[in-house]
Amino acid sequence: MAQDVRIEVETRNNDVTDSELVCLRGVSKLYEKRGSESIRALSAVDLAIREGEIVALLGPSGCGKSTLLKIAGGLYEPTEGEITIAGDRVEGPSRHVGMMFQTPALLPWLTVLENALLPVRVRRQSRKRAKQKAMEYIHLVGLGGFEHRYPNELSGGMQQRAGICRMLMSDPVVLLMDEPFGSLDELTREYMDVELRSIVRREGKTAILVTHSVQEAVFVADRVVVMTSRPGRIAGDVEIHLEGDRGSDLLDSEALLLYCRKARALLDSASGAQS
Amino acid sequence: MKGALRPRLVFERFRGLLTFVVSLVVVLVVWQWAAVTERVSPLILPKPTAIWDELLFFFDNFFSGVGYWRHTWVTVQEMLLGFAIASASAFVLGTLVSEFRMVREVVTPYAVALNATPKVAFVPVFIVWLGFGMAPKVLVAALIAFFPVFVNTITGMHSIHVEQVELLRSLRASRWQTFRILKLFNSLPFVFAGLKTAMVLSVIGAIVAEFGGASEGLGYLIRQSSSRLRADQVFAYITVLSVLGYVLFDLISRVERKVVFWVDRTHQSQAVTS
Repeated sequence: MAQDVRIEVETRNNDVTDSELVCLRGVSKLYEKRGSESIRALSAVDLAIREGEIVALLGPSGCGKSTLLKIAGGLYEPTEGEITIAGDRVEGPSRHVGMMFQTPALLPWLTVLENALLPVRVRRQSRKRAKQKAMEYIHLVGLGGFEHRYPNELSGGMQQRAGICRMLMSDPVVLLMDEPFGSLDELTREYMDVELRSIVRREGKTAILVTHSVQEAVFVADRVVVMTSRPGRIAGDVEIHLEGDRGSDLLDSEALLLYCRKARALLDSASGAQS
Repeated sequence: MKGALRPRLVFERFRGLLTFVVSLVVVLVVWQWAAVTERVSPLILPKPTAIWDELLFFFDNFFSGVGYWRHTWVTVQEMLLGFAIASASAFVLGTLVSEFRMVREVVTPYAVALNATPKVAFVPVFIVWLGFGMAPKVLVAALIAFFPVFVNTITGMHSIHVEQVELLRSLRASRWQTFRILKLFNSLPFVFAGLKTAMVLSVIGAIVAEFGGASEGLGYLIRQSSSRLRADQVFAYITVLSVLGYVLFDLISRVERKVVFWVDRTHQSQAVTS
């Protein structure tokens, strides 16, 4: 690849201070398998995320980035280490967190609006009051007019838009997204990335996006955290300094390409060190 | 252009029906020919026209004369009661089995054993226990119809998408909420597949139980005519039963399409039909 790009690994201080919103300290995950060696999915991961920061976890498939995200969301338990979000220790799913998955995970017997209202329904809050907010989000993600449609009437991209609405409706401090656009075609994905970034910024949320697309990571995030595989470790960070709003015109810009190369080089050197 | 295409489109639309009618006519003509020329004894294979005459007689005497409605109604009641008892108990038990480990451990061995048992073998015993009335027939119908609903309920409750479960966990839903919001609805397409099988099986259960000893019902009529070597009557009653079975099956299919509207029809075969 481009040899002229020097790899500057800006190891931003991942040591944990109290000012960080999301802190992972020494997180490891071991999968015990009967009759064979246990598999180490994650090895001593330290990660600290500032409030309002958008971080992309970038790595090859099987590097444990999804596992890390689900540990942060309290869905999986770490073998070692601890996670705090907004000062609260994570021991199971946290109310501060809103999640998106690789599939939209919409309930097919509920309309878009009913799906968006699911967090409110689970919390037994007043649905009437939440409905107006849900409609705002539905319009925000460009699903206005589709609120009474069922998921199987929508395209894959539209289904993930509904997923964004539902995530926002749980009124989270931190958004955790596990390759949400991984199954979409490239054009739709780019489109969704543009909107995702602007929505997360607009709502002033902190976010972690897991992806195996270099371009997606660089475009959406303020900081790309590159991971190595087996066991999953953090190889380094690439800070993305791009001025102003990020529109689709940025996608094929020189600046973005430079960052992509940087991230790619880090990724290559990391996986080269492994094999 | 469009006008020229029309007749062809009309033909395409009714093509399936046309094929069926033609094949039916061919089968009936060959059958009639074989019976009239006595290549096959009429005691074994009656003429289609003779069956038709018996069918006409059946409906002429439905409310008046012999009063076939009484026999039909008895069998329908046995079927429907058996079906209802089987469906309700299988759904409830299937749900409990998939939700509670304790129930699963207790019920599974019995379920496996009973499923492997030919249920109609119980007919003589049930008649001894419950007499010659409707009760033993309902019980046999219920017993046969139970398993497809039971197995499909369990399958449906378990075949949930991992990410849907994780979503509800991330929303901090309680176990009861997860059941009510996700599992219950997720199981419905499977449950309906089971119900359709159960409907057909409950007809079998009721008829076989009537063979074992009854004083009324369509199964009773079949046995009577059979012992009098009236194959034409037997075939007429079988025709009535098959139409009855079809109507009930179709009824459930219609309810299914209304209730589980979100299921892509092409994927519906994924449900277990035991």
